[in-house]
Amino acid sequence: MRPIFRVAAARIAFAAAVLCATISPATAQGVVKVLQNDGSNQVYNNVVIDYKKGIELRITTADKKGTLIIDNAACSYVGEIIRCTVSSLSLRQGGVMQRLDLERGTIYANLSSKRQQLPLTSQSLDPRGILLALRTKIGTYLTMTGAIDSQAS
Amino acid sequence: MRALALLLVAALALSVAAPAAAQRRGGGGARAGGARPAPAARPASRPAPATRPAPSGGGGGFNLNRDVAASRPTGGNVGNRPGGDRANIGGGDRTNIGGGDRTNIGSGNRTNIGSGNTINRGNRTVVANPVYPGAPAWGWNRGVAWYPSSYYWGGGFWGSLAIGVTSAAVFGAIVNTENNEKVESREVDPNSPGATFLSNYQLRQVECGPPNLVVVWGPENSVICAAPNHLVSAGEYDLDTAQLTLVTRAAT
Repeated sequence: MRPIFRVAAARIAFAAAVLCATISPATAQGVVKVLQNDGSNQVYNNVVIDYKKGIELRITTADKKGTLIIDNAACSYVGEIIRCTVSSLSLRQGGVMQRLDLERGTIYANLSSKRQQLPLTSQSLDPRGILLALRTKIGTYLTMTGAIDSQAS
Repeated sequence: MRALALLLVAALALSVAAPAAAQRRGGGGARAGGARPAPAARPASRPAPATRPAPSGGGGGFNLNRDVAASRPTGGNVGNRPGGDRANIGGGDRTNIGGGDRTNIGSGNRTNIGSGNTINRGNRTVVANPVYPGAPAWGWNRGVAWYPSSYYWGGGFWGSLAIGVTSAAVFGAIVNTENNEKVESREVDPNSPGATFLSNYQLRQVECGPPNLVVVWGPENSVICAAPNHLVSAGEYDLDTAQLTLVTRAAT
């Protein structure tokens, strides 16, 4: 191989290595579990979690047919973890927007770049990690674990 | 060298394609009754206990039919509170509730502290926060707007003590001179924004009731009391949650 091509190949290899190391496509590994008030339950894998700072948190099923929207919460920091008491939950599905009667709910999210320990538990959250637990007034429990797939300011 | 380059390019292509494939495998539909999660989501869950399958969601999406039926239609005005004050999550840019320049702390029209260019505090005195003097709104909360949650005493400012859950945490009481209503105080949660406030002013919470205390009226008609110190003298104050500052209460 001529030296000039050798250098070019080395540069390509380096660029590819850097790209492999830095590209982090949305992996959509969020999992939502719904426990109905009749005891039945559903598990939704690969939900997409979008966070728009100051606006809302959206959780969309992998088939993109349903989106839960949380756009009202009281938030404060616990160390590096943001903790929000949810006060509004809506469902956009089938072209219809519906506010659901929420009883209570809490979000923990790690918006820092380091793994963070949740207070008073052995649980920790990876960067972009998020936990959600809420209960509706009719007794439906909804939990979510995963990572924020997209974040916009 | 060329082989190495080709190998790395192939790895790059695989790393981009794999998540997309995982997404397709996920399918998006609900797996009812303890179905096994898809491989991509395995770390997050163990199989749910087996229960009878729920009716399908009717073409995908979330199966929250019971909740939808039990909820009132919104007419597309999702997320708005009855008062029309769209709040937000974790945002530092949208500090005002109600879209105006006003920050309305407390309940009713008891306290109305102006912000921005329309400050109108009469002869009331602002006791600047010693830790965040002149800080932008919500600077104490890292620029993240804090909003009260109606499910918690004091909107959750003093901690996540749910209203009506316990009476054990009652920490004295005080009579609101504006309406002669007896208001119970509660102990401030150490991890709450209220604890940050107390720490900033080096205040120590004490039980409400005795005279010559620092009486702080917070969100949602909540009140706490503290022993006066070199920063804050005894008296009644309103708390500006945006600036985390104390403002002497208007005489009634």
